This record gives sequence, structure tokens and C-alpha cells, in this order.
Amino acid sequence: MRHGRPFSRREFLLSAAAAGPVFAGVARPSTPALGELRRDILASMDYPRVALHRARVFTRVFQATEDKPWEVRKAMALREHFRTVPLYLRPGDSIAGSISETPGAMSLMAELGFGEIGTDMNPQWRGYLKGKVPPEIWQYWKTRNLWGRFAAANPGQRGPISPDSGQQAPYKFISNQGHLSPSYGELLKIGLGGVLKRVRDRKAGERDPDKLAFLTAAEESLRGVSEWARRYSEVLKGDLARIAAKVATEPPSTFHEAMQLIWFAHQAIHIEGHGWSCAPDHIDRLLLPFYEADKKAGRLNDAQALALCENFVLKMHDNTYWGPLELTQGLCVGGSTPDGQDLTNRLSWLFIEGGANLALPEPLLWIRWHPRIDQKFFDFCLGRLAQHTCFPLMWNDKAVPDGLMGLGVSREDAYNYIAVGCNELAIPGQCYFNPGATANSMRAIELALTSGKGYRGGGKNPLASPAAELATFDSFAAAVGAYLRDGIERTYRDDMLVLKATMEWGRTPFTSCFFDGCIERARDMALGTKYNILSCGGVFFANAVDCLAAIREVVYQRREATLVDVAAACKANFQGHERLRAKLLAAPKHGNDDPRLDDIIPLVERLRDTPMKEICRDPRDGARFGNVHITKAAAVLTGRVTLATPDGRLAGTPLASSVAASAGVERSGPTALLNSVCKMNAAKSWQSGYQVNLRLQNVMLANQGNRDKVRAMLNVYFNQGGQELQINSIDTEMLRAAQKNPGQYRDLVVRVAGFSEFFVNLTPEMQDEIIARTAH
Amino acid sequence: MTGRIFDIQRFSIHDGPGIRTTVFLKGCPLRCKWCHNPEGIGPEPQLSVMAAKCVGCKACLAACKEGALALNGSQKVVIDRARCTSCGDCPPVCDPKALEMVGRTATVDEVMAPVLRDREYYRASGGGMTLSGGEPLFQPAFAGALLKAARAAGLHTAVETSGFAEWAALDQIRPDTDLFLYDYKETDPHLHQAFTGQPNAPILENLRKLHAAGARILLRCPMIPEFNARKEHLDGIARTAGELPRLIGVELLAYHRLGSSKLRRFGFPTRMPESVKSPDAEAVREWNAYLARKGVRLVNAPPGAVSKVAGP
Repeated sequence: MRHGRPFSRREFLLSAAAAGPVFAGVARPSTPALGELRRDILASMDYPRVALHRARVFTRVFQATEDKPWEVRKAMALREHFRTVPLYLRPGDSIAGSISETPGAMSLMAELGFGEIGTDMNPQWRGYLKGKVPPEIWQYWKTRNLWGRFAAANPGQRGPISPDSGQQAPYKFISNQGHLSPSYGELLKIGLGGVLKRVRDRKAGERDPDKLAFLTAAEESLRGVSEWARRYSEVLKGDLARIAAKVATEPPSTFHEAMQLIWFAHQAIHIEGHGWSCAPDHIDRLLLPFYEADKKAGRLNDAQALALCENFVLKMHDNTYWGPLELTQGLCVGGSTPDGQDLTNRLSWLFIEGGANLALPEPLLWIRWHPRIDQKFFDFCLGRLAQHTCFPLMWNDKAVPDGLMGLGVSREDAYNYIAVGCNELAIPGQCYFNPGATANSMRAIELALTSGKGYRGGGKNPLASPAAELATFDSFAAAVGAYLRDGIERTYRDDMLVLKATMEWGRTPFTSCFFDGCIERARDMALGTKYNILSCGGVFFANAVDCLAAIREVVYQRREATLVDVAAACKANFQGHERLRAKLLAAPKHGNDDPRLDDIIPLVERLRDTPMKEICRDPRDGARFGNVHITKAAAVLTGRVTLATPDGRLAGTPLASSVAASAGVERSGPTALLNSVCKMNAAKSWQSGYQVNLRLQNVMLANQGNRDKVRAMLNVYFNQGGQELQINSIDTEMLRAAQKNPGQYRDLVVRVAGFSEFFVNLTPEMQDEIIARTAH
Repeated sequence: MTGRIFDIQRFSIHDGPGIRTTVFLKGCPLRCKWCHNPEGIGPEPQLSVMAAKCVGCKACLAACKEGALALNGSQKVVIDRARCTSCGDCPPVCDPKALEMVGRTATVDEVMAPVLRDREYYRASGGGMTLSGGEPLFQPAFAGALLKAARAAGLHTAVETSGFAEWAALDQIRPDTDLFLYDYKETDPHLHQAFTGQPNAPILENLRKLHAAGARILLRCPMIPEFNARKEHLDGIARTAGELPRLIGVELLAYHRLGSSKLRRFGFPTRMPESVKSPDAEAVREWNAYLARKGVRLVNAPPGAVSKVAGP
């Protein structure tokens, strides 16, 4: 399908300047200077720019250090990059530190791999890397970087692609894993100099060559970041220069200094390679002592603090990993202690306020709901959601820690969880998100229906009885389970090969300094963190529930068709099978609080959990896997290439974009939708997170009386164990109007699945999918 | 005990306090020209068609003994209403549910099962169950049984009524009803008869009796441009409210045209002239402000119309 030409960031910025506050999602930066900065940033993100300084430096240093350990070479190259990268500061920016030498550009991670990313979402930019990578750089790294070495060590696995191919690359081969939050508490106490001293103290007397290599690498990269900060102090003026010089080595004393130090460290982590979905710890809690001290001393008022919070949010938008292609950055505020104390503070309010004022699709803003959340704060968040249209997103302290504890995380650590990335879970400095297997229920259902052949043929040997012999629903479910197990086994095997390569050539000594125990053990985080929780990614849960329910009702209960009939109908996209499709559509659908699905929901969870528990173990410490529901753009993109499904869905149409309901089947209102989600076992089967989309008409949140009712509803949902919730607060009429007159709605931000985007930048079919989600 | 309902709507937030589930009972003695729930008028189930859902399978054509069904050029089912008897033979063969009987017989337990599923939401928001219609008192025994069941389950109960019923029926459900959402449609008796097909005298008498008996009552006034949206009617509302000191307040309900499209689904002619539009926000504000100046306590008035807005 042809992709409509999206608005460039430049066009968007021009329109945003003229747009009045006529609808939710319009930017209202708290100062004119921040408004200028916002425009400047968005203007430079109109197409994917490539920055080569890092790749050039890495090539030069690696060529000159062939005899040294890999991680030492990486650190030496990183330090050299920090010493030489051209610096710039945007006008009006009060926080220094940029991801590359060119505004709005992204660096290539030569030592990891080359390849395009984000072009499935932005097909008009396919080929953006073509001709950008000098041949000598590509030639040098082809067999020497992570991807090249992985391919050499694992013949038959996926090989590197040329940067000129225009093909999209798997992120694990062209970046580090990311999906993490470093721990910055100690950094704020002792500064970069203090961390460096810890590394040096640990290094004294160490003889083990592996440990020495790690510590040397950590030392090199820390010194590089300090030198980078000092270089900024030389080009900056006034207070900004003083701040940069101070935090280059010393711990911060003020709010602004603390924020600047976090940003230098955070940006350096991106530059080292972990920029994908990287959250800056519990920033409201970390900065609170500095904010309070400044306020007490009369150095800071709330307007200034808010402006700095907005500056920080803009900084995250400006310096994301893949430029305009993939943003996936976020900030998490609020939450509770293990004994239920509310940790929401004044800065939680200011970050939510600042995020709403800027009306950007990213960074994402999350709050953590808990039973004793300040209801005034919760109401404020919902009011700001009406303004922003989709932030903040919400996680539940009553559900998430239980899941993590079930995987061996201590209670105290589990309550320190944080959201990262598109919308996954991690613990700052202790464990990060990393999928290590995939469970594709829809494929398993297809194989069970077709005796292992698949609708398009080409399936391997059957792993269960032929479809015609599956006489009971239980035997059919068992067949689905057998194919699912096979898929999990294969993806686990492949993913562990990638993990092994990452443990060797994906080390990140600088980032490791902000993960508990890495310095003490003198061991890189790739070799293990405090908790190693890999995840088995699931997809399209709601479709799987609906498919099994439809097959049970139509094939096994009412006996109106056979499995073979259903398979033939799906294969034919229901052409000539309209009545069968209608019967399948009439079966109960997840999302409507239908008691007839009460046993199907745990069945779908079990079909994945059981084999996953038997098969999947972290190779580093044998830890068990958690489960995650991966959605992101997959609902539309995978739907486009997926044939018709037994729930009555037509070929090529979107699959479910949340675990709550398949596209367009929800018709019993939001309480029924939320009750349906609560039938899922979040703690047992979704430890690494799921996503629930709820669309509410804007008036439901903008009007105080309605908002009180919505807040009451959400309190019930979270109290009943709902793990996550993301609300889109836009009216269908507005979306249709935006489709017709995109020029007038360029500021409109919508939550797609794992990410948010300006509505007008979405493909027409994605726009339709957003509109199809029922609004209440 | 069974009765006839045509919908159960969860997360209703405009029919009483908090989050509610509204149960729509079938059958109504009035014929308001602006009716927005025409499917609630007749006591018997009626055939409804949603062409968008039709998959063109023709199963209904075979099932129809009257020859009332056909496919149009877009392969969507159309009903010849002159022949259709709403016999109910075609919906069971219509798998995509393009043809549906609106209205079904249900027991008290069948109604209460979905209602009780949202009990936690009622508790958290101060909500409960609302009976609407049609006219709930068209089935007084069934309405009473539902209210008793809701009360027994600890739910807040509300009844939306036109007040056109035997006093005995109203009096009987009174003890189990926490809130009456009582319609006040037209002050002028002749116009009331013309607009609704029934006189307003018994309605007003029931209102006074209900008030005297100590019931909690919110007066709800549909405001229909070109019909009752006049100064004289607003004065009548103010006068009536003034005579009933324990009234919770008055809520103005602005007309919307949704009912017209619903009428088409049931093959009724549209009775409202096309010229009657939904009133704009400014008009609604003015009506509320007018009543506020006359000392009427208003509920859910738009911002700016009155200085202080009360809630039920």
C-alpha cells in the first residue's frame, strides 16, 4: 500500500507556531525561549541524518589497537570520540551534551553493525543509509563488528547486510540492547570523579586479565566523559560553563547541576551504544533533594524548575538514538515504597506539567499508580492527559512488583521498578529488558488447523495429529500448544546465540558503571546484572483468545463447521465462506467481560507459560524468563501480511494492538474492557509487561465531573490488578477531521501501541486502526 | 418474573450519580415527537436492520415467509416494512447480526448478572443501576422486581420516568428507588397533548404526590428547539420547581438528532422536521442562566451559566 507523504518535522513546526489552543495536544511551552528551542529541534528532525564522527574514530582506534582486549578498544575509541567530537549548543538550551556532532543526526555504531532501522514505520525513508557509509569503514568492520563476528561464528544464521541495501536491520545487531535504566543515585553523591576513583581503587592490585580489561575500559570511558564535559565548559558561557566544569568530575550541589550531570551520563550511555529505550532512573526522586535545597536557599522557584524540566524533556526528544526514525525514550515519575508510602513529590507534578506543555510524542511520560496515590495528583495527571491526549501512561504498583518477585527479585528491588522503552519494565541498575524467545500463538493456531502445513504450505513435519483427527477442543488446544512449544524452542535457541555474541562483543564498560556490582565484580553488565530477566515475547493475545473461543463454539460446541472448513475459509480470506465467517464473528470476543471466555484466557496464558518455563533459562545464571506482550507497530504491520484468522478477522487487516481486545470487537464499554483485562494473571504470566489501550472521548477527561468518574473507574481497575493502562483522549470526529485536513492537526499526538506519534505522520491504514478503536 | 428489555448499557454516566448501568425497558405510553429511543416505544420485539453488518449471504431471504427481505445493489439486506411482521424468523439465521430483534424477554437474574459485574465501579464512584426505557413503569411489576434485586445487592437505584403511570405503580416502586429522574416535557396542556400524545395533568399530579411522599426527585427537561424551547415553558419549569421545595434540582437536556437515524433502522418515518437542529452551547447556557436567575437549583448546567453548580 502506498504510504501517504507524511508531514516533515519542519512543516509541522511551522504549523505549530501558528496553531492556537483549539484542541488537546497543542504545545504550550512555559517560556518563549523553550518554544523556540522546541521549534529548532523539530526542524532538524525532518529526515534521518547520519553522523559519522563516531564511526570514523572507532575505525581509527580499533585499527591501531588490534592487540588489546575488545572492551578496552571500545573504551579507548569512546574516549577518543569524546575528546574530538565537534560540540554545538542550540540557542536557548540550558543543558549541554548532544548525541552527535550534527543537530538531529544519529551516530552509526560501527563496532556493532550497520543497517537501517525504523523504515517499516517510515517507509518513505527507506534507503536513508545508502551511500552514507564510506566503503573503507564498511570493509573494515564487515567481518570484525558484532554482527560480522556473530555471522562467522554461527553459519546459517542471519548475515550482515550492506549499508547500501536499504534493508531494515534487527536492532540487536546495530546497537546495544538498551531497554534499561541506569542507576544514578551514587553518581549524584560522588560525581564522575568519585565513580572513577571507585574503579581505580578496585583496579589496584587486580591481576586477573579479564577483570583488568573491564576496569581499564571503565576507567578510560569515565575519563572520556569527564573530558567531554570539560570541553563543553570551554565553549559555553557564564553559569552553564561553570556547571559543566564542575560536574565534569565533582558531585552536583544544585538542581541545575544535578540535571546536567544526569544528562551527561545519560547521553554518554546513548553514545556508548545503549540509547535504545533508555530511562534516566526515577528522576523526580533523585532530583528532589537538590530542588528542595535550592528552594530553601532561595536559588530556585517553581517556574524555573518547570522550565528546566521542560528543557530536559526537549533534550530527550532531541538526542534520541535513531533520530526521527525511532524515539522510544521515556520518563517515569511517582510510585510507592514496598510498605505503600507515596513517593510522588513536587517534581513528579512538574515533569507531568512540562511534558503536557510540550505536546511531543516522545519522550513517553509514565506514572506509577498505587493504592495510596495522592488522588489530587492522579486527577491532575488525568487532566493533563486530556491536554496532551495520551500522557501520562500508567503502571500499577499493585501488579508489577508481584510479577518481578515471582521471578526471584527482592521485595525492595521489585518496588523500585521503572518503565523503559516502548513500554517495558526494568529496575534501575539491576535488571533490564531483553527478549530471548518469541511465542507466536497465531502461527501455532494456523499450524494446528492445517496439520502443520500452514495456509501457504511449506510447514515442516506435523507435531500433532492431523486437524481432521482433533476430535475435542482439548486435543485442538494441545495441538496449538505443541506448535507453540516448537516456536518457542527455535526462537530461544536463536536468541541465545545472539545473547552469547552480545556477551562477547556487545560489552559496554561505561554503562556498566551504573549497574550494581559491575565495578565490584570487575565484570561487564553483558555478563550479568543483579537480576537477569530475559523475556519471552508474545503477540496478539486478544486474537488468540478470540480464535480459540470461536473454534470452540463453532467447531466443537455447535458443530457447524470442521477445523478443515475453518482452515479453508481462512486460506480463502472467507471468500465463499461468508456464513462461516459470520458465525466465527458472532462467537464471544475478548474485551466484553464475557464469562464464556473465563477459561480461554488462562488457557492461552498456560499454552505459552508451560513450555516457556521448561525451555527457557538465562544462560548466565539459569534464571527463569518472564513474559511480555509485544505490540508496537506489529498490530498493523504484521496484520498487513497475516492471512485471515479464525476469529473472523480478514487478511491484511490489523491484529490486536493491546491485550484488551481485538480491533473493532469491543462493544460493552470501558468497565467491561477493564474487567476483561483483569481476568489475565499479570503477576504469573506478564512479568515483563502488557499493554492496554483505552480510548476516551476528550470530554470524559476535560470535564471535571466526568473525570471524577473515570478516575473512580481507573482506581477500581488498578485495585483489581490491572497492570498497565494507556489512554488516548481524542474524539473520533477529531481524528476523521485530521485525516481530511491534516494541515490543521499537525500537533495531534496519538498513542499507537508501543509508541506515540503525530497522527498526521501515520500511514492511512494506521490512522484507520486508531479510529477503529472504540471510543467511550 | 420476566420482563421485556431492549438494552443494558454499562458505564452510563449521565443517568444519575457515579458510574451506572442503565437497563432499558420496552414499551411506552407516550409518543413524543422528539423520541430518542424509538426502539423502546413498542412493547413487542421489533426487527432492526444494520446494513453495514450484512455479509450478503442471503440466509435471511430463505427464512422469510413474508418475502419481505431482499438484497440491494451493494449486496446488503433491505426490509420491505409493508410486508415484515417482525415475526422473528430471520435473526436466528443472520450470523453477522445485521438483522436483530430489538427487545427480548429476560428474567430478573438475567438482567442483574451484567449489572452486578460492575459493582466495584458503582462502589468507587457512588453509582448504581438506572431503569430507563421506553417507560419503566409500563412494566411496573418487573421494574419493581429489578429495583428490589438491586437494593438487595446494595446498589443505588434510579428510575428515569415520564411520570405517566398509575400512581399505585409509582408508589409501589418508591421505597426501592433512591432517585427519580422525572421528565417535565411541556407546560402547556394542549401542547403537551400535541407533542406527546398524552395529557400532562396526571404527570403533574404524580409528581406532587411523589414529592409529598418524600421521594428524591430530579426534574429533567428535554429542550427541543421549535417545540418547547420557549420562555413560557422555562417559566413553567421555574414555577413547578418553586412549588416543590425538596426537589434536588432541574436538569435541562438539550435535543440531539440521534433518534432520527435510529428511527430509520426501525422503518419509522422521521417525525421531526429537518429544520430542528441540536441547540448550540450558547442557547443551552442561556436557558440555564434564565432559570438560575429565577432561583431554580440547576444540575449539570454548563460552565458559566450559573455561579454554583449543584450535583445530585
